[in-house]
Amino acid sequence: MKRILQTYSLGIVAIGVIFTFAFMAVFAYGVSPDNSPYANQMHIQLATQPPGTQISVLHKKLASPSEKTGLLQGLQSGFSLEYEEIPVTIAEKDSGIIRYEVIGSTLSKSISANDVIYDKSGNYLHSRVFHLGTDRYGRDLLSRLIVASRVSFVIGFIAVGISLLIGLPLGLLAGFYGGWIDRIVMWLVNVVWSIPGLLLVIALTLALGKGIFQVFIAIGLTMWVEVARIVRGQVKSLRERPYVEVAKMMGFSSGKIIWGQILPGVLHPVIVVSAANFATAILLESGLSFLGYGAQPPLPTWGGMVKDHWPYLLMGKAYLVLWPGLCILLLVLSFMMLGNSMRDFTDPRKKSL
Amino acid sequence: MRKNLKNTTYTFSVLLGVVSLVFFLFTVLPGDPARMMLDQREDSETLEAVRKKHGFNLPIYQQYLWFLNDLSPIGWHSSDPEHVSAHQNRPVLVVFYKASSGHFLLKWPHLRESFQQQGQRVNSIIGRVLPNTIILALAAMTLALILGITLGVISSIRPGSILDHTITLVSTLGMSVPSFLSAIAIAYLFGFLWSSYTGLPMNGTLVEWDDWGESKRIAWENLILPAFTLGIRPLAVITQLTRSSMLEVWQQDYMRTARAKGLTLRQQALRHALPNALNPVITSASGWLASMLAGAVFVEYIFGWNGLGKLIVEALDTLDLPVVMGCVLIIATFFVFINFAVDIIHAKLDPRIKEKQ
Repeated sequence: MKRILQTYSLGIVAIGVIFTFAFMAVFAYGVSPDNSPYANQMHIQLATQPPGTQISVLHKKLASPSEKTGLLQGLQSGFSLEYEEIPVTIAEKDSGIIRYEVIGSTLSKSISANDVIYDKSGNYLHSRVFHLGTDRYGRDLLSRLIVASRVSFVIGFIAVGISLLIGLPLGLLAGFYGGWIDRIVMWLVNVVWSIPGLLLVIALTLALGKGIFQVFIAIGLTMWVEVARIVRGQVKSLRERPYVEVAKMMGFSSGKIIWGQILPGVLHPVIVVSAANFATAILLESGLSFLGYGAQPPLPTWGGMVKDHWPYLLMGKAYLVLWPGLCILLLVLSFMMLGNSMRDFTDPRKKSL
Repeated sequence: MRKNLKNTTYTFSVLLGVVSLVFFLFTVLPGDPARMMLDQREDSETLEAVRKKHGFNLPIYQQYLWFLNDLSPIGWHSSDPEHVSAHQNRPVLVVFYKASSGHFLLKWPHLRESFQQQGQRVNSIIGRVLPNTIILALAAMTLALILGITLGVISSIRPGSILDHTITLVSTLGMSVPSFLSAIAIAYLFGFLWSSYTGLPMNGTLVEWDDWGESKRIAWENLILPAFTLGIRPLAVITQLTRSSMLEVWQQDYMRTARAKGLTLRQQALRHALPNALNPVITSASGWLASMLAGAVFVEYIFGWNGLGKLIVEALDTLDLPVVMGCVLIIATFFVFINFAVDIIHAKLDPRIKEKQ
């Protein structure tokens, strides 16, 4: 047991990281400080504030408040705002009127005391902390990071799903039947293989139009190649095994042999390659978002956040790039290490450890 | 001999597939290319003229055939300058046969004209930047091969040691960093924050004008950071490939013999193990080259290196489809030939392959 823990320690850490991110992605709007849809509350006056900035805000009632979002719907797509946040420096309550100055301006403004929302102890000033600072539109960086984790997971699942949907049957057919089917599939694999993934995805998004769903599909359509190649190779070697020969002699139909004898033997390498593909999909998506071809605003993505903020490096605001970059790196690294651990785990030569 | 012929035919069929796929993706699927070229100024007459000039008004299969005719080194081109496939502007090498209606000739593959840059030939646009990318890629490749093989050999000598674990972890890390992130980090750290120590610029390309704008000079110092950044990913891949194939070689009987002969560890590793372990590194060349060229898009864009990758990003911004198409075709053709070469080298290196066939 201790031996196993030691050998697969990195894999276990990786699973921990993946689960943490997955929790973040599922309960994004439950855990993010700014739980409005897409964590998109802008405060232009507060652009690129350093981590830990604390300010006071007035909660001004909206003229036409939208309906209160239910818990389930809120967790799914964010809670609609019931008030407008006004970041203030000074605020005084004076006989039914609150006078205040907005951050970044010295103009004195006033608002009726009935138009603001009070907290439980009756204070009209609410404290707001930006734990990781704010982005260039004055949005809470931490909240954007949390909500952005969703895109990375969804892209992974959809792209891997599409790649399996296409790659698995093609690989099985090519490996099992050989002959002209094999030649056609391998020709197709070689054609797609010759165009670097990133360029193919860009070409596909040009054809399908900009947007996050097009990117999901485009990435899936480029990654089946890897699956088909691995499956085909595995099936080719499995086809010669005695138990498959026996099944053939017993007159089982091809479909039954593929389903019952071949498929179980293919699953392990497919799972391993899927973990690696998950990582590749996240990398590709972040690259596309960085070039502006992925998600469109206001939907946050880690790649897009790096794109928005890398010019700020020269102004000494490295944290704006550091956090989204670190998130991509950590999640991709975890999936790669998970894949490596699973490969070692299913490798019979390492079983003896 | 027959096998070579078969291989060559197959390579060309893959190439045809690539060209068809690219044509389909860029010409058939997107909206109206004539509108893309003209932007806002879209009166119907100009649109019609542009469609006629580029052949967008023809049926798809005819457009496809003229496209192939343009790309093929041997083709027929009309002498009518209004024709889609007029021989004017084609990079002609040899004229085989001349008739009044057209010329049958040998030429460079013609990648047509840019949508945006006043109808400049894509061939010459790409020709200007291609050498820069080749130099950058060669520098990165050399770095990746030398460092990668060294690290792979070192970590295979004592598998499971702390050194081995560190090298494996760092190389996995190298594969996990998106190229744009490593480029930004390296440009920022070595080109900006510590540039007074390194003396390196944050961005710049190979050929630069001097401060007075009078003469051009080759700025080799601009190459260092981009080449290193571009090398990270292939370096990581090569390290892991070398390591795993070295581990297998160490188990072979002839390695036991080498040990029994009393050779030093160095002799065992370099003379006996390494030459046999290099096979997978070479046969998967297309894999790590692909990862490198995809990275070049970001690295060139961020470092301002005037190469193919930067050209692609700029052309995408302006929807200059012929330029993007040309770049994709050039890179894909390169890979088709790399795979062809790898097959041949593989058979030469590993006699077992030959016996099988």
